[in-house]
Parts: sequence; structure tokens; C-alpha cells
Amino acid sequence: MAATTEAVDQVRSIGEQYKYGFVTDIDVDLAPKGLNEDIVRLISKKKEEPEWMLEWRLKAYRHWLTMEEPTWQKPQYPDIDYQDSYYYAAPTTTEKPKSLDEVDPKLLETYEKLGIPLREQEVLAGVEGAPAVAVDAVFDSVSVATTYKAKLEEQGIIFCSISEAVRDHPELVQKYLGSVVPYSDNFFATLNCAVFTDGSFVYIPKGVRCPMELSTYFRINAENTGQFERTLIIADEGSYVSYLEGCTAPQRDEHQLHAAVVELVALDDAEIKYSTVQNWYPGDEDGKGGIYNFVTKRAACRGHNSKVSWTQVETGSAITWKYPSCILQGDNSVGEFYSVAITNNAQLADTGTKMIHIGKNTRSRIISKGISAGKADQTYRGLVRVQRGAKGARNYTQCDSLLIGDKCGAHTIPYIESQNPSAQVEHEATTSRIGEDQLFYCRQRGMDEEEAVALIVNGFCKEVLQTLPMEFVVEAQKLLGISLEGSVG
Amino acid sequence: MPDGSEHMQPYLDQASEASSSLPGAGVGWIDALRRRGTDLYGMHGLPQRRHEYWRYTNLNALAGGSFRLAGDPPAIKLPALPHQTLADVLSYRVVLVNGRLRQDLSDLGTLPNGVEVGSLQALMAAAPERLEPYLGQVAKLDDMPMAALNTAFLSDGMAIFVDADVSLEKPVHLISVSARDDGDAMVQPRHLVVMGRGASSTLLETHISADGGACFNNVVSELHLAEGAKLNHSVFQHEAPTSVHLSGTAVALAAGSTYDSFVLQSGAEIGRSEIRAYLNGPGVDCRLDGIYLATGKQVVDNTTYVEHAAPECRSRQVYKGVLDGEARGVFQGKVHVVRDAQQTDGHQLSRALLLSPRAEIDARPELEIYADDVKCSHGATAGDLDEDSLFYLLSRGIHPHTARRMLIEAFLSEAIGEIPVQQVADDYLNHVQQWLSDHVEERSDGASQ
Repeated sequence: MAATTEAVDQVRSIGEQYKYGFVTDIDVDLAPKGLNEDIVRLISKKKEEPEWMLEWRLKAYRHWLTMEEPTWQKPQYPDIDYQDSYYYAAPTTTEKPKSLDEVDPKLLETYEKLGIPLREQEVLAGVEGAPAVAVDAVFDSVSVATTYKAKLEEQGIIFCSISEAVRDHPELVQKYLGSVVPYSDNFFATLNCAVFTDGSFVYIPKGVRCPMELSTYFRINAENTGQFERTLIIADEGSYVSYLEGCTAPQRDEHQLHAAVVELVALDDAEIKYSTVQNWYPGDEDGKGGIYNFVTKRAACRGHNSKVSWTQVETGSAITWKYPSCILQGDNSVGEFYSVAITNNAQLADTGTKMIHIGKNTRSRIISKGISAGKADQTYRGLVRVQRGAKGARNYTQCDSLLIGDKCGAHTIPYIESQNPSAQVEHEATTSRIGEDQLFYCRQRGMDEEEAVALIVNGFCKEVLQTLPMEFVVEAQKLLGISLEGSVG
Repeated sequence: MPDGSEHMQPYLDQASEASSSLPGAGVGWIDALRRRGTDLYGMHGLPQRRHEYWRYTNLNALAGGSFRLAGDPPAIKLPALPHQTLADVLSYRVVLVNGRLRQDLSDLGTLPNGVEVGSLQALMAAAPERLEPYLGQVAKLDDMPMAALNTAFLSDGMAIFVDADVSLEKPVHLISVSARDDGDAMVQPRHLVVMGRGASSTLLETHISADGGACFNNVVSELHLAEGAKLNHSVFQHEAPTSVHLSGTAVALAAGSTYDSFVLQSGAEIGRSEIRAYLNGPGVDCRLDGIYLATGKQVVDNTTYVEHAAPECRSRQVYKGVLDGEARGVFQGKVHVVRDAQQTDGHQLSRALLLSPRAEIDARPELEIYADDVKCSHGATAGDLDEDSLFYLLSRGIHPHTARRMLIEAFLSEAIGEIPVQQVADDYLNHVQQWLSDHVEERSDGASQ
């Protein structure tokens, strides 16, 4: 029975715990610790940025100094000393490698350990007909390798690191950077504007359907560094792209800050599908160490009939705090948010989405599945706003929480603001635990308790997992199992 | 500093001016309670948008500080109630004018043994020790800045004591009348209900205005239900369209008690009903229902907080509203299940109908859950009438506005049907019909067509 074999595999892999906790010992170019205008200038200089970019960074930095760190969120954390961190850490390969053979073999080893198919030939040697994935690998916020670039260029698709884009396509970057998340948006986004070191840039030209999945793997490696990457994706009229990001970090005792910004722009009839499998180091069972994942993700559905779909599988990080959002400006535009968030042990999460309906007949759909185990606390926080002119807008929201154990918490805080009578807004939420009868049924068929829980949880999340690109569904399912390790019994 | 700080001073000054002449002055714990109210209000100020529970209700109308604490109530006659059905309910009648109990207008008849209904002021003067275990014990002033302000002015209101195992057959009907003083009057009534073990009663509240003047009515009620006690509580807020009506009700529920509340709001420029229920013992059954009707520039706010602090309790909330004109409806509800409150059953529903393109609803149904063996759910909807239902009625030859009216009435009467006292349910339904005739029938067809 296939299902049983799968479940057994899953349970076997549960024993692995956090398998990405290794550190790669490679030479890193570190800027001095601390944050000031000189560091901002230094980052900009290292990246060989034009003057306007530096000005923008400095504007953000000066604004950041006037801002207060927010405190309204559910997960509270000890004060972060922003001066006790490195804001620039780059592998010391002085020049960007021309081909993968020139890449530091240690780095390649890292990616092999992560199981990321960086080498094109490996992918090509794989099962025939299997869809290829173009990867941009970001190591301590610096893009180290981008695959399939040439092949994508044939169709006019630009897929490169954002620093390259600043140099090679300044007109696009200048037009769109900060147009969805302005430099003054929020404390962490503003900090990101000032000090971001790299990230991915994607431009899909008019009418082009991107022939492969685009993917970025983020890895924090160096000690005491914050990771600030910036992603900008532009889908021009009638284009389509599916993009996936994955993240891991070594196991360390101190907390590390990850404050990224992702901006998506969809023009007329364009569609962007953005998937995240987030597996930053979650800290140990008592909450020591782990990543603070404070990310601003926002999409502007500017064009008519445009569509943005966010899918996220959040299993890592000590604290996850983010609300991937859609601003539905274009008439008939569609925003979707599918989320599975698992918190175990001492993990905390405050996540959800915002759907702002501005255009006519805009539609949004929110499916959120939260699973809380151990001593973890999880909050779904979401906003659905229908503005005056959003005639015929439609929203459907469903948030389900599953509690495993009596020490965890699950919270649901939806904000619903409707200003148009022709709009229909629906919100439903439930909180429950795994039913005794469900467990009994599985046990009766010879599964042990952990297998049964993994199976039931996978069923609970199925609606969301199905929206992931096919290649990543299996990975995500395994992650669910690992994250819940030790939560029953 | 909280941003409301510049606006609170006029009220703090009035509180300190009044403090020495208020009843019970000189009694240690009463003085301390008032001081605590003053201090906490001084700390928070008038709640602003940044205050999570006041996010959608703006109190700038109070900011000028033009409302003055009402003096001795004017010698007015009892104004007519909105509908006769309610006036006909046989009850023990308590009438407050500007927060002061008017014996001459009240009609308590003969109360059964073990029941006491009277003015808080009288009790504070005569037997403050009877109040000490209850007054200021349920309303958590840290969470309720406007209740803190009320406490700073603590002086009069209604007090009910029902002894153990006593069952009041007739409801107590509290009629609260706001009347213009020489200026814009501020009223700070405080009510206290203490139900002994196994006691049961029904409390009706009707809030009306004597004339069209602006009033700021800031009511706080504290209800104590001992083990197995039962209270049905129906509130009808129908103050003048220029008034500000803020009501904060805090309910402490011991094991096995039942609290059944219904709030109908259709009056005031800003009307807010905040109910905070603390389910402290196992087996509590708590129901908070309500409907609201708003038009013009009215803001009507229903805020609830249900704390499941013990296992095996059940809470149900259904709030429905109809918003016309430029009215704004607010629903904020929170179900909080503490650790170990296993076998909790909590449900919450908010539904709003927007009848006009300028109307708005802001809803925030919230669940905060720390126990795993629970069944909790909430739902919220906003929108116009269902087109299919409308089409069904039209296809049967029913005139469009009659059809719309029928559907709105059906939508609201579902909630009203939960009121246990039939005459009260009838009265509220009358009011809905009247309101619909006055407001919805004016148009020949739907606003959104």
C-alpha cells in the first residue's frame, strides 16, 4: 500500500530533526559590526550601485532612525541590539563565477547537502520530461549562482540577482522598487531598504509564459549576521510565472534576524504564483536560538484581470511574523492566500494576509491552516478591506486551527472592513484538536500514533499543499512530519 | 503619552471637583476605587484608534470636553416608551433620570422576600459594607478606559440583590432617561446586580432621551451570578440621535450559572455596547446576542469579550445588523479560552447587511485559545441581500421593496426569536418593522441596484 509506505518513510525521516543545522566553513567578507550611514554607504559601494540607489538607502536609513519598533504583535521577543550584528557578509569570491565550475566547491557542497539541484546537468540528467527549475542561490544575502539564465534570456525573461538588476536594468528597478512596499512602510521593511544586500529579480515580458519554475534558495550561514534580502518580481501584460523560495539556516544558540522584503507587480492579465517553503532553524526545544523571520511581502495586482497567488508552508523560525498581501487595484483582479503554518516546541507565529479590494469585481480567497503543538503559540491575523469603489467584490476566508497538546495556543484575529453593499465577504474559522475517533480509526489499522498524526495533519493541510508546485509537495509533506516530531505521546 | 491625553483633562478636572461631594466620600474603599478610576483614566485618556478595542469607534465628539456632569435631575415626566408592548410588560419599574433614581417615577410594587431593588447612592450612604464585595470587582478598569472614567464619578445607579434560590417572576425594568441639563449633560450611571446561588430573574433596560439635546451617557454595569444563578438581560438603546451612549457591562459567572443577554441598538449618534463575560466556574452557559439598526451618520458598536476561565462552559454569540445611509457598524468579539478550560464550546457569528453604498461594516471576530480539547468557531459575513432569495420572491409577484423588507425582517427576527420573554421579543420586532418603514420603504428599490 503506497500510502502506508509513504507514511512509514515520513515517520522515519521524523527522527532526523533539523537536518539543515550544519555550518559551512568558507571565507566570508564581513563589514564591521553595527549600523550607521557608513555601513549603508559601504554596502552600496560593495554592490557598485549607482548614486540614486545609495540616496534611496540613506533616505530609508534616516527614516528608520525616527521609527519605533512595533509592539502590537502577539509574539514578544527580547530587544534586538541592531548595533551588535553584521550587516554585510559575503562569500569572498571576488568575482561572480562565469560557470558553476568556478564556484567555491564548499559552497556547492552546501547546496548538495541542502538537496538543491544547482547543477544544471544533474537536473538535465534527471527523469526525462520532468520540468526544470531555474535556481538563484542566495548565501548570506548574496546571490552566488543563478542557473538557466541563458535559456530564460532567449524569451526575454530576466532572472538574476537584484544587484545585477540594479546595474543592468536600472530603468526597471527604479520604476518598480519600493512601488509596492515604500521605503517608509514599516520598521523592518525600512531597515531592509537601507541595508539589503541581495535577492532575486524577475521580469517576465509581455505575453510570455515562463517555461520553468523559478526558485531562490536562501541560506544564512555566517554568525551574527542579519539577512536582508529583497525580491522584486514584475509580470508584464499577459505573462505568467511561478516562483518558489526555500530557506534554511545553521543551528546556533543566538537568534538571528531575517527581515526580507518581497514585492510583486502584476500588470494586465498577468499571473504570479509565489510559493514559500520556509524552514529556517526553529531553535531548540526550549526556544534557544532560531531565526526571527520578520518579512514584508506584498503584491500589487495593478492590471485588469491580474492574479497573484501566495502559497506558504511555514515550519521553521523561532518567530514567524509576516502577512503576504494583495492590493487588488485592477478590475477583476484576483488574490489568493494559501497557508500552512506549523509551530512546535517554543516556536511562535503571527501570520496571515491582507486583501485590499480597490477595483471592481475583485476576488480574494484565503485558506489558512494552523497547527500548533508543544508550547507553541500561533496567531492568524488577517485583513479583508473592501473599499467604496470595489463594486461586486468577493472574499472567502477559511481559517482552521489544530491543537496538539494542552500547552499550545491558537488564535484567530480577522479584521473585516466592508464599504460596499454589493461586496460579499465571508469569514469562517474553527479550532479543534485531532479527534479521538480519527486517531482510533488509524491505530486500529495498525499505524502507530505518530504515523496517524502525520497522516491526519497531511489531510488537514491537503487543500493548501495541493496548490504548491508539484515538485515541492513531497518536500512539504515531509517537513510537516519533521516539524511535529515529538509532539504526541 | 497616549494621544487622547489632551482631551482627558476637562473630565479629570470635573472628577476631582465632584469627588468630595459624591456619596460615600470618606469611606476608605470607595475613595480608593474612585481614585483608581481617576488614575487609570488619566493614564489612558480618551480611547483612540490605537487602542485595539476602540479601533473603529472614534470618540472625538467627546474631545472638546463640552459635556458637563449632570446636576440634580430635571423634574420631567416619564416620556413614552418607543412602543406600547414594552410598556405593557408587567414589571418592577425603576426609573433613572440622568443617572439618578427617581422614586416618584419608579414603581416597585411589593418585592418578594429576599429581593432588594434600590439606588446605589442610598446604599453607599447607608450600608457601604454590603457593596464592598461586589462594587468594582468585575469591571477590569485596565481594559476599559471609559469604565475607569465612570468609576471616577461613581455616585448613583441601580442596585439589585436577589438572595439565594429566590426566583423573581416579574422582570425588573430599568428605564433610563437622558435629559438635557442647562448644557450638554454628561451622565455616569453605575449599576450593580448580585444574584445569589440558584436565584433567577429577568432584567430589562430601556435607554431613551427626554428631549433632543446632546447627552453623553457612560453606563457601567457589574453583574455577579453565583452558582446556578440565572439572569435574562435585554437591553434596548434608543437614545436621541445627537447622544453618545457608551455602555460597559462586566459579568462574573460562577459554576453552573446562565447568562442570556440581548442588545438592541438603534439610537444615539455613537452607540456602543461592550460586554465582558468571565466564565469562572465549570458548566456556565453564556449567550450574547444582539441586533443593530443604523442610518444617517450613526456609528453603532458591539464589542464582546468572553473569557472561558473554567472547563465545560458554553458560549454563543449572534450579532446581526442593518446599515443604511452613511452609518457604520462595528462588531468586535473575542472568545478567550485559557489553558485547562477543556471541553469549551464557543461560537460566534456576526452578520451585517449593507443597504446603502455609503454604509460600512467593520468586524473583528477573534479567537484566542490555549486549550486543546475545545470546539470553537466564528463566522462573519457582510454584504447585500441574497439575490437568489430576492429573485424567488419577485418571481412570486411580490413588489421589490416588500420583498426586500421581508428578507431584512426575516434576517433580524432570527436573532430576536432567541429572546426568552415573548412580549419583549414582540416589542423589539415592532421596533424593527417601524424602523424599516421609516427608513427602507422610502426607496422604490434597492440602493445597490
